[in-house]
Amino acid sequence: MEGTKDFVIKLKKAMEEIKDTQQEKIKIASKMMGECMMEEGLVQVFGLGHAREFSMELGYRAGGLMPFHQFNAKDLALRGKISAQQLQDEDFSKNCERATQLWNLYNIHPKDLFIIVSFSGAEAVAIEMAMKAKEEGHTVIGVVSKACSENSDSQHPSQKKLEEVVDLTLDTCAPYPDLVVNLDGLHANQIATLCGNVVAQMLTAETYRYLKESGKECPVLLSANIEGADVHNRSLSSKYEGRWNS
Amino acid sequence: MMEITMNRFYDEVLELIDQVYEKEDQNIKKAASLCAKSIANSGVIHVFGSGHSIGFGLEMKDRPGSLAPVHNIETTDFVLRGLFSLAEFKDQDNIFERRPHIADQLYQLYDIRPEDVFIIISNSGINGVVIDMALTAKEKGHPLVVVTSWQHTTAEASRHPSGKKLYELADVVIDNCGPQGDALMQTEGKEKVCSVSSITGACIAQSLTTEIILDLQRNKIEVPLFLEEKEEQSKKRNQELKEKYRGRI
Repeated sequence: MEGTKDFVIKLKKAMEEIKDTQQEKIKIASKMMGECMMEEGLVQVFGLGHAREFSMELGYRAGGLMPFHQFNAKDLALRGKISAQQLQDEDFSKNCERATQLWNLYNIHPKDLFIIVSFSGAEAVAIEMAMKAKEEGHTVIGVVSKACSENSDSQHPSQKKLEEVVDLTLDTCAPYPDLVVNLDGLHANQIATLCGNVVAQMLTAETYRYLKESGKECPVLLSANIEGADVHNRSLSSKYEGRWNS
Repeated sequence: MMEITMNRFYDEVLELIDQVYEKEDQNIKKAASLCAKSIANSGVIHVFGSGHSIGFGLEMKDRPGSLAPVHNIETTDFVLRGLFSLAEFKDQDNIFERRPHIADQLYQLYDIRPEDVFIIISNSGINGVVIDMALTAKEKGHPLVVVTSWQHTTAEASRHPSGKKLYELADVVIDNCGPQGDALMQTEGKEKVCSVSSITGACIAQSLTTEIILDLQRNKIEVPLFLEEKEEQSKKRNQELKEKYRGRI
């Protein structure tokens, strides 16, 4: 048994499952995202802790689309709403109040769409955020690891899970428990974030295709090494000034 | 021109993942061995990347199945610790990460010990703060692992006053096998769509964890691995690990 080989086998198995089971859903999600962008809405992306990698995968990067805004829990401490100590609180993800505080930091428009990521589907803050977004009339896409979610109890007072609150759920297809490598009895490695990154890029590709097929301009950010990238990227971002970077 | 679809992305990223493991297997093992040696001497792995490279550090720490002695260096810590205001940090006319001596100040911000090892991640490997941090780490005698895009870093000139690129300072270099500029699929226009460095980077980060554990096991050293908190015993173990590295991770 070799560790890295074993890891790659598990990763590819989960990726295969994404391809087999998530394509239709990714297409529907991409259509939602494309339609939101056509109406000058932004896609708001929120994930706590490791789930923030999903937002980083979509938000402001070369080869990505411009109209995203990333929720970042750290902003609460950076902007003085809570202390650095409170940010580190082990029960942060259970505290529903944090969802409202975070929401209030940002500039959110009625046309915006939400993507909310919680691999367990059980985090109170993520569920509260999804409920708030639904209440305010936004469409919400959830991203979970279905196998993990099926084995987790909701932390939210309503006892609801993320899937029950959102309009569409995507699955990272990571297994449960997500400790994919066994090294002489030690269970190591997690692949949910990695699979999430793959799903996020598949969403980017399909949203691009949807916009193109609809005959629209695609607001793709250029790599800094391409001539004129600075000017191009600034012209894309200026349209969403105060929103993408709120 | 081939159409942009999720399946095309999927196929291309799978190819790149295979390439990482074919080409970089030995480098990942060498890097893991440096990290394992440090951990055996009660050292900590400090991970630093700016922008999207922050994801690499997240992959390596703070959850079951990851190693305890991993610390992420983040420039926002200056604000969280009250050394700069958010306004000073975000000043558009004086971009924080391009200011001189930021790396020295970051180094001093933390409890970094001689036995610690550094992993620095940058796609281009040509910009100020990551090279400064690498210079500081080497000056203080730490082993240094660099994760970079070979295609990108060899295509452009350094923007650092020393003229050096990040990989030139490393003890071990791992190529994330991403294309120059990170975006993957050429469209009919000048833009390329979808990026890959965080996916191949996450593969490298996870495999480092695996190989560090194997290296420690081969040398019969206790593995400081966070466990899933199913039983009281594993909760206790995790608390002990957090205690052991308190203030350092």
